[in-house]
Amino acid sequence: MSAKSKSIQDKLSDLNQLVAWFDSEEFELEAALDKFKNAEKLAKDIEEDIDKLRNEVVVIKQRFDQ
Amino acid sequence: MEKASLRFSVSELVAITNQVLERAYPSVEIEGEVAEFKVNQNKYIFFNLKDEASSVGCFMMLWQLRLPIEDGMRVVVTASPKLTAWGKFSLTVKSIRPVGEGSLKKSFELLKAKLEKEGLFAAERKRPIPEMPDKVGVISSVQAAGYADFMKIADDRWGGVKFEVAQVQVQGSEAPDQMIRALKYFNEQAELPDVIVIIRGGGSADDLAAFNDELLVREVAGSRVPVLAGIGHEIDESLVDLAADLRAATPSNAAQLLLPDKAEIRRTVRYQLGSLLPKVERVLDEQVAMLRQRLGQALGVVELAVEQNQTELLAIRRVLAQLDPRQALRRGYAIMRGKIEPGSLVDIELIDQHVQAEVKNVSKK
Repeated sequence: MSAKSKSIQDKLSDLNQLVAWFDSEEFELEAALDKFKNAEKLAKDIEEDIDKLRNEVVVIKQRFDQ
Repeated sequence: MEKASLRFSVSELVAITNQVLERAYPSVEIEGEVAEFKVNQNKYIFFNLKDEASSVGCFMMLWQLRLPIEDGMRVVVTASPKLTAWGKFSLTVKSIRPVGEGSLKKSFELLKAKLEKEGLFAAERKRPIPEMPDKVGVISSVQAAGYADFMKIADDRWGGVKFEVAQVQVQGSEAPDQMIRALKYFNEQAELPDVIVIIRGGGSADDLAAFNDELLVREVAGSRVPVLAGIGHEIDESLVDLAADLRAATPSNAAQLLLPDKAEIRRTVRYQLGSLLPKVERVLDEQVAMLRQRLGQALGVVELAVEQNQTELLAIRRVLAQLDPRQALRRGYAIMRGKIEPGSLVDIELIDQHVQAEVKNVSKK
């Protein structure tokens, strides 16, 4: 997994955890604003990361016909 | 004058004939029907290849047989014609493959049953394909439409992936061996790819026959790296499909199964974020409602306490009222102040009068 993809997957995982926190019994109104700000930043970062991703295609030089 | 004929020994004639044949036809493809197919000593295969008018003997080694063959099948053999030391014309077969729908289907079913019995297609052998692969080994022909479809969908869906492409033939007699070499190549890398994808667009049963090659199917089943097969159309089923860890219906579908969709992730992320504020609002509403309820309860308690206090106060007032000396005066009693002894003056208070009186006599009751 590339650093970029890993980072996106980590961020998605973090975002899922934050969203789950809002539905959990651990939810506290006092902490909700900070958590929401974190989620907002994560969502923004994820979208930016996704936009930057480009695939790389390398045709292997080795021949397979012999 | 008559030209002198060439004179050879029998062995020389056989050798020269073979040289001529080798130069003229080093390798030929012959199509015909298999007859009298037999395996000797579990090593050598003999059969005849025939059509309506002719028949020719064929020989090959068992290890060269890549697909099950039976009498009556139409096949194409790649062979070298030879004259044996016993003067018998024969074809030394390098490869044999069924042709025509009936023969291909028969061969497919025979091999499928054999490999299924060995457990090569068992569900418990299947491994998951990584969710977000970083490195993908692709086995395909870069000129093929299926490859272009795969890469287009892959680019549309996701990025940051390194695709290493092994350029191979994906149809014809050479295709299975090339794909086997490519599979070995990826499996021998120091840094293994996360997944190997085999891509081939649609085609006739004959075009796709390479994906029913026994050695290729075994190589797919034995791959260290999980294999995703995107071969042909949805209705095409190859043995490579069955042996792969995951089968896609088409090359485009392979890209869909392989990679997440960035548009979908974007939608999900936005939805998740959008769902948080209503949650906070709902909790706030609940807490406000709870506070109101508590306040209402507290107010009730205070009101009750006030009411109780008022009742108690009233009772005390009643007691105090009863203790008021003026009440006794109103009932006709009098308050006498002064020394109670004969001759002394005392003050007597009535409800509306004060009287001075002299004590005449004091006696015990």
